[in-house]
Amino acid sequence: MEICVNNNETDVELVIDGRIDSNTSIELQEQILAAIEGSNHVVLDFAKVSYISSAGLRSILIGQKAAAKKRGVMELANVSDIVMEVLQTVGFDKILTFK
Amino acid sequence: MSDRMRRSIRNKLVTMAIVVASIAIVLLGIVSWGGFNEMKRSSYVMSTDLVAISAEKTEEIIRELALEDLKHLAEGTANVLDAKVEQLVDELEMSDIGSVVMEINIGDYGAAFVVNDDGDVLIRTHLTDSADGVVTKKENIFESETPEIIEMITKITLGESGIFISNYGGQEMYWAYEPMDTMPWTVITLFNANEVLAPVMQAKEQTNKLALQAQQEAQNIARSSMIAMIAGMAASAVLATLVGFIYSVKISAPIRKLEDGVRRISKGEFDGKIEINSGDEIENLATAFNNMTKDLKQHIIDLTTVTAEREKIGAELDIATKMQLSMLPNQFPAFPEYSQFDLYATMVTAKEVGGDFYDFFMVDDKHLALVMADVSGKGVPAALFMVKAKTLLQNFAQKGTSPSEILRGVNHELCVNNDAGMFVTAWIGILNVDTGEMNYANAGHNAPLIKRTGGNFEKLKCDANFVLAGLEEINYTQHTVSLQNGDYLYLYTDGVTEATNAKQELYSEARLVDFMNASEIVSAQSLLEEIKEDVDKFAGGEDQFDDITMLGLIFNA
Repeated sequence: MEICVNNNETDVELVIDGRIDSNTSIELQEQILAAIEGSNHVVLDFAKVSYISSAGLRSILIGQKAAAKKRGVMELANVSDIVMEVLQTVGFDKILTFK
Repeated sequence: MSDRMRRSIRNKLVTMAIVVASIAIVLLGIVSWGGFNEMKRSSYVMSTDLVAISAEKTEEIIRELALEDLKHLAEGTANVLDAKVEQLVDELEMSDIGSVVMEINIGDYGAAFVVNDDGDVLIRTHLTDSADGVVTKKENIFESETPEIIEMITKITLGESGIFISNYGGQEMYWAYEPMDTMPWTVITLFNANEVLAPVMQAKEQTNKLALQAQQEAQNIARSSMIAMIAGMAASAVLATLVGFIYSVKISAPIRKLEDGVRRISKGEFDGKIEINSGDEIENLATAFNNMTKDLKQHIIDLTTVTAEREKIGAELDIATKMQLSMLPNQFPAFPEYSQFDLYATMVTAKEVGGDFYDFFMVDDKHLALVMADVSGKGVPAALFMVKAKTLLQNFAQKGTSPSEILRGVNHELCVNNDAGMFVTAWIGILNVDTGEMNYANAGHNAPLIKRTGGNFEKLKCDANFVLAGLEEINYTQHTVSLQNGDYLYLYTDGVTEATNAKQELYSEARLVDFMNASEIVSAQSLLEEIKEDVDKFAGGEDQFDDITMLGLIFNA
């Protein structure tokens, strides 16, 4: 998995490429938390995410909680059907914001 | 010597020294060879020229001197004869003249004549039968056909004196003539050139001999110098080899020392230090090597400690996994006293301890609780969280509340102090074993599959809701299903559908459903075992990252 950070004027965009599993979720979590720390609007581009494990879901959940705590917004963009199915299975679609 | 050693640095250096020395020697040899040849040639040319030039010069001088001598002889004879004529006057006899002429020492090949103005020879010193040289037989030189003699006759007629050279009877002759004052006669003297030049020739021969000797000597010197040079070359080649050998030994010795050191290290002897004081790069290398050895030793000590610790942790994790497994009910048949259902469950743990778990227990004598859950993440935190979740689920279920209430209560408990952001997906159903009515609720877990008699496996309708421990105050919707005789309920975790093969393909829900529909169901256990077998076949020996956990139940009304 690779993460590309784009610091835009109004938001911070994390373009994630690859599988989010127990090996890569730690880095994702750090990047998400760093982005939320620096911006009230964080966008996670999921266009190139092919798989997300429960550890990855945890990183997303932690990010969502952190964003909510500082009254910021964390958005998921371009989520593929496969990943969306996983998110729906665990009920994350109800608590996350999609672009 | 082994093949490896033949390519040793020492041998390479020796070879290099020999090659460099050989090239220098060969070049020197070529240049010297040319020099010697030049020397030989020039000494030859020089001596030959010298001989030729000196002989020529000597001949010329001798010839000039001889002619001069001859002239003086002729003059002297003429003067003496004039004096004799004046002295005797009337009593002059030819024999007196002849005696004077005969006294002239003119050599074996020389001759003296006196001729009158008619060319008649009056006196001759050689080839004469008379003792006083007076010619009796008439002989006239005017009859000569030799051009030089004809020229002389002309001069004689004019009363002149002179010298000349002629060929007389194949021999070179030197001539001088001087007319007398008192008589109309002329004195002629002549030398045979061979006689005159004999000493010169002899000298020439001698010189030639000397020159040849000098040449020979020069050549000898050249040859012996060449031999000396070749010997010198051979000696320097040997010396170069020797020096090369000594130096290469000097250079390669520390390398060998280093090599020995490396060998010792590879045997695990870290205490030896390599002492090299060559003052060059090799010494630096040895120093670096010693430092490396020291570091390596420390690393090994560290690594040993870490490995020991890791082994300890590994062993503990192993125990944790076993303990985790032992916490799940694994005695089958689970409830032999109940004929209303056939129940089987299995969990195959992945390499790393995970957070899957299943559970079943009688809430009371009529109600069977079924639980399938998956804790996010892996390792000890997930295992610990799993224990907490399992215990809470059981505790809340034992209170006899509904599935949605159980989930709500457990969620609340799990959210407390959940700083690590762990969560659990869980599905729980409470089955009335007499009626077949089952209440169930889901907390973000994948929906179970159900097969109705005569039908196919399909997803059991249920809302996903939200995971446990994620957010507080979540409400979980509850559903009810009525199981009929022979219905098969299948609970599982995503370890089944996300089993991965070498091509990174997932086993998938579609494949699972197809396989289950194609299977003949003998018992709850048989289907689970067949599924496990098919998943293994699909994965083809690839390590699985997730636990594979399944629970099957056949309801018997």
